[in-house]
Amino acid sequence: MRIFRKKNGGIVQLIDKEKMQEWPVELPLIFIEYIRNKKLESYEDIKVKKGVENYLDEIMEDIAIPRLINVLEGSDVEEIILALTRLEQLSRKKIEMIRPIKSYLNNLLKLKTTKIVTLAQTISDNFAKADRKKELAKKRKIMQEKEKQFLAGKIGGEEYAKARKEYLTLKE
Amino acid sequence: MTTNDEGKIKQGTIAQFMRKRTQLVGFEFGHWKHTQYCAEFLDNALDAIESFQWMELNKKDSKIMFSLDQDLFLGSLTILKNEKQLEKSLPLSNEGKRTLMLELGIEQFELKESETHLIEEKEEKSQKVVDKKHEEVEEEVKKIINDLEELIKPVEYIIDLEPIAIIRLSESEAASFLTSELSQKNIMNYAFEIFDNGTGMLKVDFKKFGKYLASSKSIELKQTRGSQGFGAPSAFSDAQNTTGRPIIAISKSAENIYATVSEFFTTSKNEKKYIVYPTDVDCPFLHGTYIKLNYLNVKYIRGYVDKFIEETAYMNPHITLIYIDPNGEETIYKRLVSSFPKEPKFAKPHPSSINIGDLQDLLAKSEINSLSSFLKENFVRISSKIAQKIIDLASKDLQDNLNFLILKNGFINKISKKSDLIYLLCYEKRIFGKSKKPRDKLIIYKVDSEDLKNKYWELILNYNQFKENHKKINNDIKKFNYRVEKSKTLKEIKFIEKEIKNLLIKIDEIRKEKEIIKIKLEKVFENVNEGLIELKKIKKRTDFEDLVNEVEISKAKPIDLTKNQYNSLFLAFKSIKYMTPPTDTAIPVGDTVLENTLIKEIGLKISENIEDFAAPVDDIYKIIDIIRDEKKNAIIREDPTVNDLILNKISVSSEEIIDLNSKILTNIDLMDKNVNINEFKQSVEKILTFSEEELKDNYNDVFEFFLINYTKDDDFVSAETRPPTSGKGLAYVVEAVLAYSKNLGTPKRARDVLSRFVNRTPKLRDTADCAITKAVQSVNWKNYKLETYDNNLPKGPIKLLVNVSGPFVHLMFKSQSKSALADDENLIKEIKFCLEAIGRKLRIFLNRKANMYKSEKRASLIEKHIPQFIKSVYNIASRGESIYKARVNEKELIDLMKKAIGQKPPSFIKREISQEPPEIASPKPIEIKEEYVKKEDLQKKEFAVKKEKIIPKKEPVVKKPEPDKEFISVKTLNNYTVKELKEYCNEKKIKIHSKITKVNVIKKISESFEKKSKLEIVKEPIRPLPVTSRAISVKKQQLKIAKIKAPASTKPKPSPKPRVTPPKPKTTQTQLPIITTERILEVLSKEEWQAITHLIFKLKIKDMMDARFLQIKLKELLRKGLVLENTIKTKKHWKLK
Amino acid sequence: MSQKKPPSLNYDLKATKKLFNEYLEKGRDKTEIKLPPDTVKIDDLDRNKTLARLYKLVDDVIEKIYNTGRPSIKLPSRATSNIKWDEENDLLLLGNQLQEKQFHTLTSVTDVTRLMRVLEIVDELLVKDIHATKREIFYSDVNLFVEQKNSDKSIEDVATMLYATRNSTHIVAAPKGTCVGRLRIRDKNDIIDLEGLGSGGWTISPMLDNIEIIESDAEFILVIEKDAALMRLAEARFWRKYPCILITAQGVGNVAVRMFLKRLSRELNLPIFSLVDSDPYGHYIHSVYLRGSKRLSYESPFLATPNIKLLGVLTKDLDAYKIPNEVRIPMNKQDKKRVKDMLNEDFVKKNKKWEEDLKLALKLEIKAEIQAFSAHGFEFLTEKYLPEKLTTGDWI
Repeated sequence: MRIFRKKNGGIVQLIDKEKMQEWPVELPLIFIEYIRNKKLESYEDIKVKKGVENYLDEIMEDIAIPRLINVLEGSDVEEIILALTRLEQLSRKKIEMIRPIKSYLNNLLKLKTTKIVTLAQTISDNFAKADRKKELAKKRKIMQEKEKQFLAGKIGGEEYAKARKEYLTLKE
Repeated sequence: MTTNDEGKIKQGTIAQFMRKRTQLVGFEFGHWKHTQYCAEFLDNALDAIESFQWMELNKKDSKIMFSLDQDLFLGSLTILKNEKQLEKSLPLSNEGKRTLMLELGIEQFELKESETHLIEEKEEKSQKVVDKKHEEVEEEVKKIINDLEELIKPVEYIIDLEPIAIIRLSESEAASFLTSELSQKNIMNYAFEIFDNGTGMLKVDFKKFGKYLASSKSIELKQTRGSQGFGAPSAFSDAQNTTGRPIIAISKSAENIYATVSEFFTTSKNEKKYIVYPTDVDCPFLHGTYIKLNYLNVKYIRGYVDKFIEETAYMNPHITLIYIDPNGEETIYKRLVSSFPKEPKFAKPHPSSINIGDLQDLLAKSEINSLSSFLKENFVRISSKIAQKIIDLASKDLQDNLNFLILKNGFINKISKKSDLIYLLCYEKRIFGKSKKPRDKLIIYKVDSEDLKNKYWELILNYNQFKENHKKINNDIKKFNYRVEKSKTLKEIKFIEKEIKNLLIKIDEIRKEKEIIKIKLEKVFENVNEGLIELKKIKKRTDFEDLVNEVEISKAKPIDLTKNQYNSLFLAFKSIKYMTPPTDTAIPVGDTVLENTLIKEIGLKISENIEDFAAPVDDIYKIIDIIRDEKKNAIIREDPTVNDLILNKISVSSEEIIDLNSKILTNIDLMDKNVNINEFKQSVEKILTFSEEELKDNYNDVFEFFLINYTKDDDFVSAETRPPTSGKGLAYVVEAVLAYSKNLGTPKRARDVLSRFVNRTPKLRDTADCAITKAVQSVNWKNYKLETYDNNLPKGPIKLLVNVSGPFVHLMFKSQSKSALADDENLIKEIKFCLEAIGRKLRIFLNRKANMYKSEKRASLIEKHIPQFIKSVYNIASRGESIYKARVNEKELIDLMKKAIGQKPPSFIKREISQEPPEIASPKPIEIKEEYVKKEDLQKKEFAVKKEKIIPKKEPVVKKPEPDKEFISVKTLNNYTVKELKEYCNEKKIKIHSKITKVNVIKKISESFEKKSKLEIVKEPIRPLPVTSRAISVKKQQLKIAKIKAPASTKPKPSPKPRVTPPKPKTTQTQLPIITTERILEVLSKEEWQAITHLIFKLKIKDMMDARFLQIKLKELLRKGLVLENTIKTKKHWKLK
Repeated sequence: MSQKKPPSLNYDLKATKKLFNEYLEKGRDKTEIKLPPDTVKIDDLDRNKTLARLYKLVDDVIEKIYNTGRPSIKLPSRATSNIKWDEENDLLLLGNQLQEKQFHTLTSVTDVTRLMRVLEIVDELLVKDIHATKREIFYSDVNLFVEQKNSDKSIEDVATMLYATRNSTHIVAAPKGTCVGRLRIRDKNDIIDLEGLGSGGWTISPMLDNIEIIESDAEFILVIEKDAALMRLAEARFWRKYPCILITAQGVGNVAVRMFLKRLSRELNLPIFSLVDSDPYGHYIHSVYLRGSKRLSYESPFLATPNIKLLGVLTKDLDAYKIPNEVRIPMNKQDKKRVKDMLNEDFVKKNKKWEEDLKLALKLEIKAEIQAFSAHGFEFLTEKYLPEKLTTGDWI
């Protein structure tokens, strides 16, 4: 296990990344996402938190993505389908997790097996949707800030109107 | 009305007394009454038959003897059947009677008109002989003969050849006036008829027949069935009391031409009143007796008379018994043996068993003159020397009592006071009376001289002194004897007996002293002439003469012994120790006869020729010699000059042995249906495949094979006859036979297991308090693997017959009904020993059976599991990548495993195989990784658990010392109880401490055998392993499984010591025809060819099995070259070489 | 480190942390376990290796049938005479005395048939890669096994015959025992957080090869004898305050629990403590965790957790924490006998503190349950007793 020490003597242990090699292809992603969202906070110790985060990124780069990539680039149709179905599910819930594989989607679209193409298509659509949503969220945030500033009188009306317009155009 | 002068006590006759008290002898109403009738007359019948045969056997060339040699093809008797047709023809005379019969539902044959009328008439008549019209008598006689013939017709053709007793019990029509009695107590009227072709009665005896005769047998006892002589007469009186019917008797002895028939009543005055006066009539049988009588009794049920007859048949296999019961059922017990038992001699009374009364009777009756010959004649175990000793003792005692001493050449009286007169008498040559020649005359002198008197008195004084001591010692002995009876513990008894012995020795000394004094007295009065005054005319002369006669008891005639003489004779008689009585007066049935009877009677399955099998160990050797000789002769025939070197190099291969053996075995056509021939041959071949040098215990496999296949469901029968002993001066012999067989079924009541016999007659009543039952109860049956009823009689599918025969039993009956023996310590001990001997044999039989059963159960249990086991193995092999995947097939595997059951596994030595776990391909090192957090450490610390080379332990070859072929193997040893083993140890002087357990005793005994064999070279322990034919598979090589090392060197086996078979129990063989080789050779003749039938006849073979065995023996003899054989007219004939 | 909980004596479990560091040190230079030469080497095999051994064994049987028609099976004898105590590793191991069961003998014909039947089932399980509990094996052929006792015996025989742990034959013990606390595990494709399963906790699954420990921030593992005590701790959310993992097995831990504990100890290297009643039975439970049981002696290396410490309830604690008399239970004759028996066990002799505690218990002749602490209030156990002992390192 990988051990992180807290100042007060406490410890946090995470599974070695080598062990993840034999995992089903999409599981590392889930793990990373799980720790990052659920557990990180509970560690309280900043040093530990930082250490864990780095470790998670490490896992992402060394294990999760490479595995996914060589699966997707591999010739094994079932494995690809399997991976894509898992990825499709993830894309619906936690799209951020699988962002790195976005670039590989388009050469998958070219493949013959319809199943793969459809899956890849839906995933890329989700990506698109997610980006848009993020964009939208960003825009809305800016708009809200602008609104606060405008109410406080720090900025003029039209800067707020511009932000609001951008947000609305994106929304449709 | 008794007049005064006759006095109150009237002298009644025994008949008068017994007539009313027949129940004393067992004739009271009840089921047992049937048996009592049957027992009474059947005993007499069998005695008669036996005495006839013995009488004839004693004659030189008796032609009318029972021949006993042809087989009895009685088939089913038709006595009863034709009896029924006959009945139809008789007219039914009286309507009333017939309705009564129908009412009672009894099918009756009608009485003749004349007979019923006759009975009424009798009532009023006085006792005198009834003179009736001649034809009536004629008629009656004709009817009696008719009944007789009807009974005998079916056996008529063998009536004179075969000993037969026929008993018929049938319901006969009750006389009218008895109907009142009949109806309430379901009492029926029974006709009892019995016929035997025994000696029959002489005419003169015939007259006395039926009277109460105080049986003459009470003194001169013989081993006969009937004894007290009350039997028949009481039966007659009971018959008459209950039915008012006369008794019909016909008897003919071989000597007279005609039989005499008579019909009579016995009267209370012990006379006979004849309806039909004994008249001559000719009859179909040469000799025999027929009796018919009627009696009333409760309804006949089974289990009494039929059981009695069945058990009688067990003990009397030499006589055919036929019984027809009231329901018309016919049971025939055929004669099973071909010879009569030996005739028991009359048991002359043994001195120790004579009481004072008997001696007086004998003396009064005896016509013998001299006392010593009287003693020798009337008593057994009294030789002339002993007779002389008795007389001598008696005379000494007499002289003391009469105070009149016998000197060498005269007599002298013995005075008690000094002042009495002393007389001396002696015979001197004088002339007196008419004759001139000097003759001995008794001269009486009076002793006068003082000096003589003093000398005399001095001697007499201590003579009297001795007499006093003598008397005193006698009293002591009496007191001691009394104490012996009362004393309880054995130790006390022994102590007292020792005392008595010393006293007896003292008495002898006293007697010697007295003799010495007498001799001194003689010296004193020798050639003394003065001091003696001859008394010529003296009144007391006659007294003296009587005194002289009386004192010389040796000259006295037994008949006129005076009282004094008698007393001292009896005293002397009792004080001498006599040899035990001769035992030829008690004749047992014989154990082989008992066994054969039971086998044939109950139909036990015993395979005949077990014994033969045990013997021919050397035969196998012989076969080898025979083959070698044949080979030698063949070579010599070719070129006679061949040298010996080649000759003795000839070896016999196993094939040749198999050929010869199987040739022998095949032509014994196995009678047994359930053994299939080839299985037998094949297994024998398998066993006999070993050639000469093989160990001989393979032979035992053949024997065991035979045992298992042939005797598996055998029954067990074993008889034991004890050597005769004696009690109360009379000999007796105890024997018992026990049959154990499944189809006998365990009887519910303890009574049905044990059948008691006395002198071959079954004793059914008073079982509980009979000595035999007590003896059987005293045996610890658990010791012989038999449970017991709560009264300790053995329980199981068994039949136990115990027979005590011999004159002794007559004294031992508890009551007149003669059905229970009194307790006698030695008798009970004798029976106990007899039963224990049988028990031991039974135990061995049951142990062997249990083992067989166990191995069978073992085999079946294993066989049951095989299919399931193989199914699992098959599924695994076919599913996975097993090397046998293609080849494995369920059926083949199952057969292989089934065949292996029962086979002795090749004796592997239990070894500690090294701990190499079965590994796949190459033994991959197995890591127990200990992971540690630092990433870089992972690569470096390739911790591997190195596979230690576990050095295979030195294979401890378990040395199994080959125990020397001990005489008795451990298996048989633990067949014996601890007590027996201890006895064996003392016999063989093997040290064991008293409280040793059974296991240690056996160990000690087997050690003692091993110690003996130490001096030989220690045998090579490992038996040669059957080398697995298949090449050791490559896979095993590769997996380094420790190879099972081939034994270093198979040392040549020392020549096998022939196992000395334990001594075969000597069978005390009676007349049963045993087919031994000597007897066969004897019977064969040199000149004429004899067919098998001649041999069977000459060897008196009766039994098919014996005939078959004869054939086998003949073949063997032929093989041995002692006999020639050729077939004439398709029949084989044999001749001596 | 601020504690959200109301300020109370907070214990920093210093001793436990120290112990953990010790383990980390020790763990690093953990040399391979050297097994004494005369004991049987049991391996924890995966599916294929077990199958290969199985076929090898059946081939031998078939060969024997062809040769002599009398098959037999050789397996290490599990008689008590063949059980050896490995002093160094403090493990109960199986000696290499071999026992040969002949088919053609009355005594073992049924055993051999049952063995072969179990082998057939194991073959099926491994081929299909599924698991079965002992109960299911029994019901697969009731009239052959007649009683669960017989099938269990055959199952153990099969395991020893293949020189493998029972786990490798895919025959698993029934689930028994729960675990709760700061631990995250993966069971096939789902991640299970043992904190978030409510007070019931996670039932320890016997199919350990599906289980993988992925994250834990616990600082020690506490094995508790009775689940009543676990409930008390769960309710008090003990593991929140003091990060730990709680396990209970209702009495002596069965194979599943001990295997799981072994996995935790091997992977997380955390110090392990046992909290048992202060009576001979409690001590026995501890000893089973410590060094394995006689019956499963051959699997001890895979089940025993030699470094488990006996935290409570020690006899001296009864006075130390002033447990009132009416709560103490007098020892009966049987208890005394068991304490005496334990005293002359070699692993107790080796541990002076343990010996003293048992001797004290024998002297005082009293025993007590964990719940006895509730005499001082329900929180006493979680607030005072445990934290204090963990901090002061007061264990055996």
